[in-house]
Amino acid sequence: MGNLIWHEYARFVAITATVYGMWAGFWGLFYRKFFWDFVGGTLRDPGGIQPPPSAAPFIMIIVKIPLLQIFGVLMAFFLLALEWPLPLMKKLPIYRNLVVRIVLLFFQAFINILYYQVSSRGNRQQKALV
Amino acid sequence: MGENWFQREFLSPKRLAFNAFFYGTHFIIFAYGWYSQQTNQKLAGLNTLKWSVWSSRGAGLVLAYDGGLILLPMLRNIIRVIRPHLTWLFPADENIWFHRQVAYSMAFWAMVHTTAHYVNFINVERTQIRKQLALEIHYTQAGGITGHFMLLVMVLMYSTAHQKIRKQCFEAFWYTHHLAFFFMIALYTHATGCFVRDSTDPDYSTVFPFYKVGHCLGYESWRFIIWPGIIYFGERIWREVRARKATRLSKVLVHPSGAMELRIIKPSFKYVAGQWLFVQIPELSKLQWHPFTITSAPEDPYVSIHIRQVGDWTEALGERFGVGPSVVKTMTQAAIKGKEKGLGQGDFVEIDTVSSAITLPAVRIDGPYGAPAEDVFKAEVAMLIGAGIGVTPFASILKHIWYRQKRGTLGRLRRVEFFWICRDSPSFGWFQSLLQEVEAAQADPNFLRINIYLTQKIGEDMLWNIAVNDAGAEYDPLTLLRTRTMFGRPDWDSIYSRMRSAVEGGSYLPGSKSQLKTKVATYFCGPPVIAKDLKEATNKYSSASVDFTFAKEHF
Repeated sequence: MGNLIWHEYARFVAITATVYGMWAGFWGLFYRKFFWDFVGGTLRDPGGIQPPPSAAPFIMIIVKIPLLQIFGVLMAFFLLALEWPLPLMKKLPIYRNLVVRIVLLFFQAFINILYYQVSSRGNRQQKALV
Repeated sequence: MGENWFQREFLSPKRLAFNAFFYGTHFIIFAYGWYSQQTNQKLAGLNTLKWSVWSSRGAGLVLAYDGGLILLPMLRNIIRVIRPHLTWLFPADENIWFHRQVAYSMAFWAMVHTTAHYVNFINVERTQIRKQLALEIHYTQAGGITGHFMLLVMVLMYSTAHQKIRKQCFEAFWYTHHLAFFFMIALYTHATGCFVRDSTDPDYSTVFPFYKVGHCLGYESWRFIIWPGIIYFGERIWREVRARKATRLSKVLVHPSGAMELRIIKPSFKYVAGQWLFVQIPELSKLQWHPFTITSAPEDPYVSIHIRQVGDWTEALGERFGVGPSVVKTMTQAAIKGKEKGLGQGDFVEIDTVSSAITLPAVRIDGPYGAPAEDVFKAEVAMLIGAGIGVTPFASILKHIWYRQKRGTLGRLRRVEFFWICRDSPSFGWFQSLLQEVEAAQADPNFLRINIYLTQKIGEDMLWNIAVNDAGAEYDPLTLLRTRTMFGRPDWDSIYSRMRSAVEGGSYLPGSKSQLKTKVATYFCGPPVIAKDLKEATNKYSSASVDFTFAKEHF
């Protein structure tokens, strides 16, 4: 029956993960939460978990200003344009570059495990690297 | 094809009815799930989470519905039995299509459900309506664990089921799709743990399931949707049992075109013309089942399938019989040469198990499945149309018609028009020899008419070959049939209009005028493009006295 062409399969997984990243990043704008805040955090009732002081930088870019989420969504748009692909992307040299993809996907996975919405799916992206 | 999405989905009555029913029921169930959560006073605590909990419960109920539906089109044996009785209601041949529609719907509602729950859990943590972290709900409770697991399985199953992946590596799709077993178990247990309850904490107890169920107010949908799962599991076991019944490979014939004909004897195997089966050869692969059309008639003392060497598995089978691709190539070349010299195409070769070292391997067959073509005998005229590889089921049907002709049990059937549209004839040499037999056996020259259309562009050599050999020869130079080959694509419009006027004029079926209505049944197997043209032609030319019907087969 032929052989599985791994990079074609990886493309589908990457597209799935990227679309999910986009969707989750969008929700992350409204429900801002640093995923790892339970590490050393204290639970208040009501109020939920209060992150430890050591997490302050993350709180700054996730909760105070949803910088990571915005960045995650923009990057997801770029990756989708690269993978789907957008017709104009086909002409660019990075379209044919595997290393760029690996770096971008790693980076996306890294961003995505930092905030609440995507954390559960971030690890899926590792698979797309095959 | 000027058909756009709107025309396809909304302007054909059957599809519109399906869409209205399918998406209508989804929406109603969603609305009910939403409403019954929102208005339940006992769940006032959960309802403080507002729209997110309402939509998560509505979507959850819809997902249960989809989970119940998704296995229904896969109950192959049950479909085979009920299909003839339900063709008027839904096209049971489209079971895979339906399976896909349910899957798409499932993906959408999973998105709604998951998104809503992510909002739910963050709010539970913030308001501490239950003394839990979002993280605990996600990764320590049954709902969260099975939910994430199902999402992971869905990513794997959906991505490997993509048409492109299925084509390049069927195994990746096939094996991954068996994750469905774990998916279904996760689905049925997803709502355990009593998280829809009217108390803050579960009412714990010391006996199974370690909480008192009186406070649990879930929809308990698993009680309904588990049945298709149980039936499907039972059917898989039944198929396994049936496949293990005594089966013997009695003969292997190799045709000059390279097709291998396997003649299998299995007394417990009952089928009708036009059906197909799965075959497994444990020696090659213990797990793979390959679908093939049955090419023998039910009257034959054996079940035969014709296998062309086109993939890993079929080539391995060829090697096993000592007729791998290289041997076949020389055989085919010899056959072509023989044909050019006017010697005929040569005969098939039987694999000799007595004097050579080749033994016949064990085989297992599973089936039969698919459409029986018994309806042929309920019409006066049958138009059997096969395109390309889609011609295979007609081998069995034509043979079967031939047997019934001999017995004189043709029913209403008076004439058969057989159309074969193919790009190049040599690859279907085995079918030609079968047609030769059937044609030669015809006593009434008007009963069976064979029309062959060759759509390939013809080279100059071949053109001259035809010009020289065709004139005055008794047999067609390409197919060696009495029937002449036609070149180009058939013009269905003119074929059907001529058919109608011939039937109406009474010249086609002598004595048919005494009948009120003549039924002309079209059976088609091949690509959807031709199917569409045919369907239009049958609709266009149906009149008060001639009723054209259309049926197509999948495989």
